[in-house]
Amino acid sequence: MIIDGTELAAAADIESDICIIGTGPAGITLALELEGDGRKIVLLEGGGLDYTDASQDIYTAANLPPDFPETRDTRLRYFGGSSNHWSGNCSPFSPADFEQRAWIPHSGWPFSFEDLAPYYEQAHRYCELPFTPRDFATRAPNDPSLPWGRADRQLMVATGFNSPPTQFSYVYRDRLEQAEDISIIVNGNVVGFTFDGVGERIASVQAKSFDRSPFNVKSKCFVLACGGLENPRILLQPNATRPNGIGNEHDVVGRYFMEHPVVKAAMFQPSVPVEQFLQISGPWQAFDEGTLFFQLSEDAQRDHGLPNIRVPFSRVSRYFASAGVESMNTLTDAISDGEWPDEPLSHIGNIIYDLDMIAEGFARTAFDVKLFDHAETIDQFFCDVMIEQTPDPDNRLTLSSQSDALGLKKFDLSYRVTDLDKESLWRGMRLVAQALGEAGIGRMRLQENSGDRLWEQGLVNYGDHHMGTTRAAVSPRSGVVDGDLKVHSVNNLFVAGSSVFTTGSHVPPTLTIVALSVRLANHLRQREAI
Amino acid sequence: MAMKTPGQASRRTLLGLSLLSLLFPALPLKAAMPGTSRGAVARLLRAALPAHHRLGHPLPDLPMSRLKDALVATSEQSSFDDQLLSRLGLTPALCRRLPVTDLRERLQQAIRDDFRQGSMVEVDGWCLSRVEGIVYALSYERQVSGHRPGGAPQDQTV
Repeated sequence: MIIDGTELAAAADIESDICIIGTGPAGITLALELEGDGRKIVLLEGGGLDYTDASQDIYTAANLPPDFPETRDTRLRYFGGSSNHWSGNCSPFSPADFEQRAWIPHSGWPFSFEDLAPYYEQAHRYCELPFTPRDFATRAPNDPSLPWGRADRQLMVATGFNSPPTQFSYVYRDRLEQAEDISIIVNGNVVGFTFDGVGERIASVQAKSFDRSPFNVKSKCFVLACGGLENPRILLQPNATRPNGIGNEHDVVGRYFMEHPVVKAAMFQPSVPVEQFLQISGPWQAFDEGTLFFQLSEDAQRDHGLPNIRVPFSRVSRYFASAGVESMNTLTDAISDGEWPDEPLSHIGNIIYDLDMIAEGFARTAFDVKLFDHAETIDQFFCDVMIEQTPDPDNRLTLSSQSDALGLKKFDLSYRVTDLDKESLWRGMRLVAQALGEAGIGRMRLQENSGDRLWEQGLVNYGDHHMGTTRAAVSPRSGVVDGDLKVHSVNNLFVAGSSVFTTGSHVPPTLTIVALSVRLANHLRQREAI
Repeated sequence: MAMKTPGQASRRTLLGLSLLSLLFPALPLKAAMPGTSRGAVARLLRAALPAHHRLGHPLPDLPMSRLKDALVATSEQSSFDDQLLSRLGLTPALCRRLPVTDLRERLQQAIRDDFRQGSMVEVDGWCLSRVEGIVYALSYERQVSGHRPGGAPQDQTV
């Protein structure tokens, strides 16, 4: 059943056993897992069934760091959440991700990989992956017949599998609508929580559409599943019972924000003819069900004190990789700004050396015509490296003085990639270069010489994965939720999604978000109080 | 007229012997460069760097002129010639005697060992084995000084 919040009477009371706030992959998975369990479930969505600007505007931050992607553009706020635009890249976390690693401050989840592993199988089904988790180990990686399979223990080949990508709203809407025990309320924006008399449990949540008075959803249990930015923003809003924010007794809500910076960190030159490289690397380049990438082995992470990195290889054409074209762009930009670039003679030399590619660029730009066949020749590969970021309490979301259209405080974000993370990237990449060299596959050219420019001039991208802001930890002093994903200081409030990640790993988060929801559903089923 | 240093052959002699060596790869250059590391290494470089072939790696924009500086900055005291022979477990005499295929195998093995042990040199972002770095640097040095031991690399940084 779908209920439109715009049609609910003001102050209406809706009763449920479990109220799930948010309809992204975390919320929808949780509802589906609890379906048929004899409990009444309300699935509350702030947006509508389709995109609207008014709803999307709620995701606008008051202040973001320079060059940080606009949060209004990177998430989607309507039924299905950001699964409506994700790329479908799925990899499980590694056992080491959950461990306390002495070289990574604030690492260590309150449960182990083995605790989560059984739930990945179900997560695969929700994300419509054609393989079980066991296939991650057997399908292609570390094949000893391939040259990189002989690389030393520093390097592992891992597989990311492609979800179609699953749009949870499209794939699961019919099932959710037909479920007798699930009610979906759209246009129901959460604006407040009311605690019971003792102040240890939430009694109801107030929600409203943009132009109406709030209605109430009463429930025995609440699950916040609105993403890594909205979960802390909602918790931090002033509350009569918890004036410092819900679950924020130790000033942890909103801290430890993590992203997945993606850096064009290296160029790779195969040491064998490209045709041969493509042939021997067939599974990884033509693997239509997934993408192979390099990562550091657990031994390498431990021995060298490194977080992990995800190193995929992207084929690039001679035109795309042309130093002459790049130098031409640099010169043009500098001159148009009334400046002269560093090392101008090198740029001029590159242009002379690459005159054919300059001509190709001119023809493509001015006339949309391709001149030279050899411009499309593949002889290089780029590595867009995804970095595991070290949790840092100073990377944090706080409330702004500005308010949104619903009257809630907007957020400010303080965020930086630390020097430790930058240094770790290059040390990790040297291990990759070392292992590839030893295997005789080719040579790496690191872009480290680009220095701070690589990080400060918009050359770094982000996975748009917002993590860690309601992190899981054993102690309420270092985390917002416990190992069951229950807010430490509230007896019936849970959090789902990437905001509970204690550390963010080096792979995209969706598969793990879904697995955590399956695990949470299993826990909620066993709680007698619900 | 420039004076020849002991052990240094005239260009014409060297060219002739190089051509002969191309026809007969195992032919030692002993007559031209008796008893020196430099002469042995010249043969090694030819084995390592057949024309259009940098140990199998086309490395665009590798700044050869800065490679030597990078090597010197982290260098042992001995000459590059001696370092190279030493890393390959060769004496000048053995280097002249071994078949070219053996020299190539030793080079490739030394390069793999370098990577395994983390003995690398970096220049302009390129991560090279120290042995291959020395090979490129020596080859470039000889190219600049007029010798071309087997299709030496060009400095492509212009």
